[in-house]
Amino acid sequence: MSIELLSFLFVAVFVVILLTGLPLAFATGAVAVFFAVVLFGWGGLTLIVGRVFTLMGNYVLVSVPLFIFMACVLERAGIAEAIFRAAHVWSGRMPGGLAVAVIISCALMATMVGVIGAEIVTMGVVALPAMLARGYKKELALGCICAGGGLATLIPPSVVFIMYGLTAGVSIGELYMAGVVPGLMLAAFYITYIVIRCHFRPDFAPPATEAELAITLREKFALLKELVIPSLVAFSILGSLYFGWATPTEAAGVGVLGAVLAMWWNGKFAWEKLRKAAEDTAKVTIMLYWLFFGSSALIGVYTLAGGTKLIQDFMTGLPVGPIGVVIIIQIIWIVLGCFIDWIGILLLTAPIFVPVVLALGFDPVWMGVLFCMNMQISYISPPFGPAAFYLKGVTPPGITLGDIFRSIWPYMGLQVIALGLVIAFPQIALWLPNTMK
Amino acid sequence: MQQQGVAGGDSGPSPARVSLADRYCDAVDRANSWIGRFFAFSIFAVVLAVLYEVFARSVFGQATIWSNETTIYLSAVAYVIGGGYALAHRRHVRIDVIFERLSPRARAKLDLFTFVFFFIYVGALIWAGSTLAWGSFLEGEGTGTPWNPRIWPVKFAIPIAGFLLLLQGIANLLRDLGIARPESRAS
Repeated sequence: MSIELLSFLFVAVFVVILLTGLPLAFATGAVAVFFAVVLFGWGGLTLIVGRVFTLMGNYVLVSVPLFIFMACVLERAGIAEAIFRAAHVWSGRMPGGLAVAVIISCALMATMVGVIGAEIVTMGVVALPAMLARGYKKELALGCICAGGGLATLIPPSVVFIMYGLTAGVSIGELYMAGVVPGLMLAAFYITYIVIRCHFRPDFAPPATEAELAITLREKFALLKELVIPSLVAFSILGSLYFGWATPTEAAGVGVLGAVLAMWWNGKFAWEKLRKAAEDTAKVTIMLYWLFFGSSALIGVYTLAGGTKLIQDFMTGLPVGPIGVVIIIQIIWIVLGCFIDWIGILLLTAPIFVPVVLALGFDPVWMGVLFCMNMQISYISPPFGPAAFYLKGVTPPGITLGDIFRSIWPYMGLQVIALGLVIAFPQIALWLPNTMK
Repeated sequence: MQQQGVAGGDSGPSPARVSLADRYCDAVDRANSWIGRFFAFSIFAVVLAVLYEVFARSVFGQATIWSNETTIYLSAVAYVIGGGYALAHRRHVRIDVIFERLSPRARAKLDLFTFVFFFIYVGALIWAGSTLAWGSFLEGEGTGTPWNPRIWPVKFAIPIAGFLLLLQGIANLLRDLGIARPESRAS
């Protein structure tokens, strides 16, 4: 069988099973098993199980449940609410002050949380009612929460970067540092947009009442008290990775300790909460691990059959120049992002695309940042943008999924601009990690 | 046999009649949930092992020989064996765009179709996994590090996980086909 025909069969079988509703983790595994047996006989199964076992022995992978656990604990420690309360009294006088506070809170939360979901839900519960009560237009209030929530995966400690680093064989520390500036840049874009929009259309966001603005400076500082431990946690994680003092796994372990301390400091400690946090962590981590097993098996079989090389040769041979290939990859990711979760896209395409990009002479760390920025778009893009669904889960009855998707366009535009900027000027991402060496 | 089951299961939640299929599904759900929750606690041990490692290195100036492998294999075994737990809670990511738009009859057909592929994968994990683990057990294989723990218990996690997934997959299928009553799940 020719490798072209084989590739076609691989994709065809995979897409059919996937569309019939079998979970991605098992669809990838099943296709891997099927082709392993067809191509290499029963002995091919050793390859599948071997791939699973190799991943089980990966030390960096342990940081995934630890970072998720840390986020689950912080969520139950009421940190997001505390951050929002503190942020909104400080941004109170700006046009669209509450929406600005949402973005600031999301960016701060992102320094402690590595997956999307928790921040969006918390902002939906805390900030959305506050904005609607103040008379903010729906599209402003909903859009900023969805867009801000995505920052969690761009600003360290991001679980997306861990998975990318494992797939592409890149240092997690460097990826984390590379995500900082683009993440802050994106947050700055959102804030600038909100302020300008609300300046010209004051009806979008009625200003705060005099009573709300009359908070004394002393009270403003008092609100910062609850943020002391979380900030220490965030800085110690970033700092230890920047200076290379700790592995990501160790940094995550220390982060968990910090999160539990923050919970205790804020008077919210309870064993029951820790137990729940552990269970939530297990559910998310199991899902991620099994996806990793299945897609690793699939990519392993496909690579052994020569398929990966076929695609790589084809892509490097395209008459569009190196940067053209990078842009094509971005477009493929954007399209896939409308239909598949980030994790599926990452695990299935990165093993193929990263070698292509390397062969063209680009930095895989830069590619990781591009991937993460690209996925910002997928979180909010209709019809399946997960950010919208997380938010829909907690919105008051009058707000539909359609309202949420209508609110995201300006932010999506900003994300595309930011992605273009990082493609054009890789230094935006690479400057900080380069100062590490 | 299935037709009879459908007729029996369609009458909605009637606590009076609990069929064999219902009992099987409830038992599998409970078993997987219990196993999953039990292994979820491993995160506390992992955190302690990581913290001890950091502490030992910074205070005693010497890394432990056991911490890294303990964290790796503890969490690996926990989240591999938990596969059935996540399936019981239907937490594995899937694409249900088409599925959601179909009639219940068409869905049932698709469920049977996808189950074949599900079985191919978990069957391979059970079969090849136990071959791998058994070989490792007979050989008394270690990890080859200074600590050198036996590795076969970790390898046995693969076929065990495959078996738990298979049990849960069958339970979910019975429920989706209407042979067993839908799950009632608190957590």
